Amino acid sequence: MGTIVSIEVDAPDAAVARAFEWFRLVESHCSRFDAASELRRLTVGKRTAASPMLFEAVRFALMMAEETDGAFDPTVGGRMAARGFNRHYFTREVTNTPASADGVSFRDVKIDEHERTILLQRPLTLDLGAVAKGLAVDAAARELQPFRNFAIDAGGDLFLGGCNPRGEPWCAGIRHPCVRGEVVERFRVSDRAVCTSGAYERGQHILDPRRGEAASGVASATVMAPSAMLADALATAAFVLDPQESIALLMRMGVEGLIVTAGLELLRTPGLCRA
Amino acid sequence: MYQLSPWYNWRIKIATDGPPRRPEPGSVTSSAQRQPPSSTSPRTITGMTKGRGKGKISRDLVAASCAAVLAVYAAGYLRTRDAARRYDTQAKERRAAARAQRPAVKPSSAPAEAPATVAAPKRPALARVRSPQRSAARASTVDTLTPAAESSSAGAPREIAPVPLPAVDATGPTPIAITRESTPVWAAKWRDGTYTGLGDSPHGDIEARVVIKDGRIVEAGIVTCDTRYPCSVIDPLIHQPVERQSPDVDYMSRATESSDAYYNALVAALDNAAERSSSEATIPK
Repeated sequence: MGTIVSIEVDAPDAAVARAFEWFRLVESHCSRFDAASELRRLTVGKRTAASPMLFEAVRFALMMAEETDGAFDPTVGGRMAARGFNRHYFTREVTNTPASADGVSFRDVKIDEHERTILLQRPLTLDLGAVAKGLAVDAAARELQPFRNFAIDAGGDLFLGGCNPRGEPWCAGIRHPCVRGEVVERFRVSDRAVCTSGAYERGQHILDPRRGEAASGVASATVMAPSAMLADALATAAFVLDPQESIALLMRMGVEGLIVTAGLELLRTPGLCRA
Repeated sequence: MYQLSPWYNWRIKIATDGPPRRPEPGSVTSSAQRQPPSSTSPRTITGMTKGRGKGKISRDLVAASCAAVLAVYAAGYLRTRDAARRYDTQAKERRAAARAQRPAVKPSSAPAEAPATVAAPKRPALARVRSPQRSAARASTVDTLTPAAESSSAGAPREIAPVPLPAVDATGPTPIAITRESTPVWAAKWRDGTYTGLGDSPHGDIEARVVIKDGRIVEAGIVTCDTRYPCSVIDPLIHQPVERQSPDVDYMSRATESSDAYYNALVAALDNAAERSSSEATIPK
């Protein structure tokens, strides 16, 4: 996943080992950078039976794409690779990403709920980065649920369970997109995922799938939701959408969020609990 | 709080491309590096548009994400369990390697016809599954007791297990010491000086120190406590080596692993103090 994962919890080593294992497990199924992954073994024009890890990730990604009218689209893998996001995060080797047909979209991917198969109708490369990492965080969080209080940080995608060591809800700070070391706002969070999409860490790595260009209207989009998969996908969509649209989307979902626009204006959902 | 072991830091580095990062206790910051400053503080906009009427799908998405996590968790459960077992195996190997680097300690020789008895604890009941190291050292004193319900490693004696071991909680009731009617007396010859030894447990290590004067233990204590729980839970055991002239400290209810770690640390320290007639480690009698 090309990210640092850290877990803070008072739990036996074996339980933490299991939590970490979820990241390897989900990645082995859902990475577009690994030629041996299940995702890369999907064949154009052929219905392929998928593992629960891949199937659930793809199904959710397609639902999110439908909900956002394509602002979130998991078929951007080919275009991302063409823009240079094609190096394996660990080996730094350029991965051989199959060429995608022009104008592909999430509508070119079909799933069969009963057979649990995935069909790519046109040549394309799925990019589940905005979903799979969240899925791994959620599974790891479930693993640590018996220990009540924990914090999982997967490259800025957080799941904060229970309370911090002082017995208070966790405090999540949203960094200023431009000023190093400055925090835009702080929130009290408990048993929620907090995911942020921004261009200040990895550059313009989020494409607006509808235009094929890097999204630029938002400096950062943060979403707090019951699951990291939902929060991560929504943050990615919110980074692409118009800020007002994003807030409306989050409110429809019943989740909280904060958008920092490119002009450094703040938009937040009404239910945000500021620290 | 739990800290990543060096082994795990290493494993995580394998799967990542940057320096490890830990959330600061109590304050977690989302996202990371950014471009140089370019403008002023953000300002707030309060106006918001209304939704587009996709409420049904939206609610489905929230439910779908939760259902997906459950499905994935169920599907991967066995594989992560295997990971935990591999970790346990490797942890045991590391501990065995650490023990191998210490001089061997042979078991005490309490009379076989006088098996140890356990004073009935008022509360809470204990499952007394000992670590193999301590069990081996005390084999002659425990082998007549009822085996525990839960299996342990081959050759390691087990003891009475009325109920599963409750978690150690430093804020819970005061621990109860489980004493023996006859505690074996160690009659090793110890050299004067200060000696330390390390004892491990699943919750972390304890380093103990003993001071020997005129061949007797005059002081015992804990130098370093790396257990997840505060070492105060075994405070009543700290000076028992001085009273008993032996590392054979009692168990504390709700702190049996820490008791074991302290015992093993004392054994290691006293072994360092023991006079050796040849290249072989001294056998305490």
